[in-house]
Amino acid sequence: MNFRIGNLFRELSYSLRRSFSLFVGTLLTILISMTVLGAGLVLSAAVETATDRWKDGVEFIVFLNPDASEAEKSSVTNKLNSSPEIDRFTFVDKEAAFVEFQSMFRDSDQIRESVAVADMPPSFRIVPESPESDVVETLADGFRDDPGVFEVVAAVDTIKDIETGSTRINRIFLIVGMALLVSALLLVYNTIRTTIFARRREVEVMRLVGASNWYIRVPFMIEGTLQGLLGGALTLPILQLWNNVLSDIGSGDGLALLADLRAPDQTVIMIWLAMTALGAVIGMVASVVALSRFLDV
Amino acid sequence: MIKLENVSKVYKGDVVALRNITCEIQKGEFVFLVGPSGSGKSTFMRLLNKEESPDNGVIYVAGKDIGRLSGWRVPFLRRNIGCIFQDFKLLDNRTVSQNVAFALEVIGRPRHVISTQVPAILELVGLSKKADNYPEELSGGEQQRVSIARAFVNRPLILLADEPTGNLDPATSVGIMKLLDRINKTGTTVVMATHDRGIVDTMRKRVIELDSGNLARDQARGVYE
Repeated sequence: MNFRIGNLFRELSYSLRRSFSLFVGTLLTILISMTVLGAGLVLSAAVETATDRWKDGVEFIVFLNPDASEAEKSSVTNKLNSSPEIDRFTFVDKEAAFVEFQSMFRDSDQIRESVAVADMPPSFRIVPESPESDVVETLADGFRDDPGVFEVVAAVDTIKDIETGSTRINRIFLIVGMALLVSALLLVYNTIRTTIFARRREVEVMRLVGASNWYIRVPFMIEGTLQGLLGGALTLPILQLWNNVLSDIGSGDGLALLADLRAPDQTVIMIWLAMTALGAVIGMVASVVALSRFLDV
Repeated sequence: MIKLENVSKVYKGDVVALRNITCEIQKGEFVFLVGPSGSGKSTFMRLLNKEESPDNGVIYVAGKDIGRLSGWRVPFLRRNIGCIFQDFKLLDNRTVSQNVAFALEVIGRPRHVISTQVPAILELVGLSKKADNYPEELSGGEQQRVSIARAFVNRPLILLADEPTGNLDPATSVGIMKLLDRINKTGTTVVMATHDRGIVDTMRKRVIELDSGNLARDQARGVYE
């Protein structure tokens, strides 16, 4: 390619200086739309983590004492097997509970290091025939006073409310995010169009003296892509803050009803990377479309 | 150097810009293109650097049929054709030397070539002392000299000048014409569209006259008429 990187950046910097306020405005719009989309995804990941134990129809959990005897365990197993109101159940032993605990609190070394396998209560995850909360409550109560039982936790309406509520909120985030995304796309398109107009004399001279099509186009494409990339990249602190806010909202009975309402840090980073890539793609697509329509080379 | 064979160009609304034009311009010639406004002079020039394409006919530039050039080769054609305009088309945010250097930068010339060629061409057009001035600080004649320097710095084979003296007073115009004559004497083919009777009559170069898109006259050492 017959142009030097230095020249390219100089063209880009001329371009940015000419339409700086427009550039910043567009960047902020992309930032907001990417934040809304990303926040929806973080919320979804947080709810999934928090309600992980309650998926696949599990309505209540019987936790045994960590030092419960085999006889106590067998007694509960027999009771479950003989009850016609129980559809199915799974047993989670100390090791599996420990792994689950470690995964739930993967972001908090302090909490993870404070427990050992021996401290973990084994549990039965139970799916009753009927998910009705009255039935579940009655069934759960039947295990509370059994020997060796440490605690019985039912997926009461709160969990269901959180799950359906978060789905609804997520849908709103998605719709608003998509609408903002379209506006961001149009804004990048118009920014590039305006920039082409502002630089029409340069473009005309470039054409006349024989600059290649790519030499003329690349700075505009970089400008559009940069807007999207920066808009997406700047979402990281906001998404992290949002995750902390969720964590504060959801903090309470860690082990029992809900795990921490918080997306794992790794997931937040993945969402951030996806938002950055999406921003860059949007910026590039919008600028390419604008160039094909308004730049005659 | 330039050859047109039965070239026609019709714009929307059946506006005939050029009708069946055939002519040939040799390497190193200086040709005036004359005719009233709307006679097809600008279209003639725009066809030569492929800013537009003819509806009929074939155009050869430097032995090549430019109608067959693919889009990505057009910039290479334009590197062999310098253009000068009535309104100079200078970049206001760049100094004189930056304006001239721009023409070399955008075609990827190395920095050391730019740093030697730009002062040399500014010397040729008599603007060495104004290298760091901005266009708005220059007179019309000086601005046109910058425009000529930018068009010629890449040593093109052909120089197209579309009414380069249209905005200048007669004395300044003479200076510009002397400069174009000097450039022509280096072997560059010059095609100049003009309404300036005095210049055409004084220089007595070949004159091609267009009238309503038709080739009305092609005269060696001609006058404006």
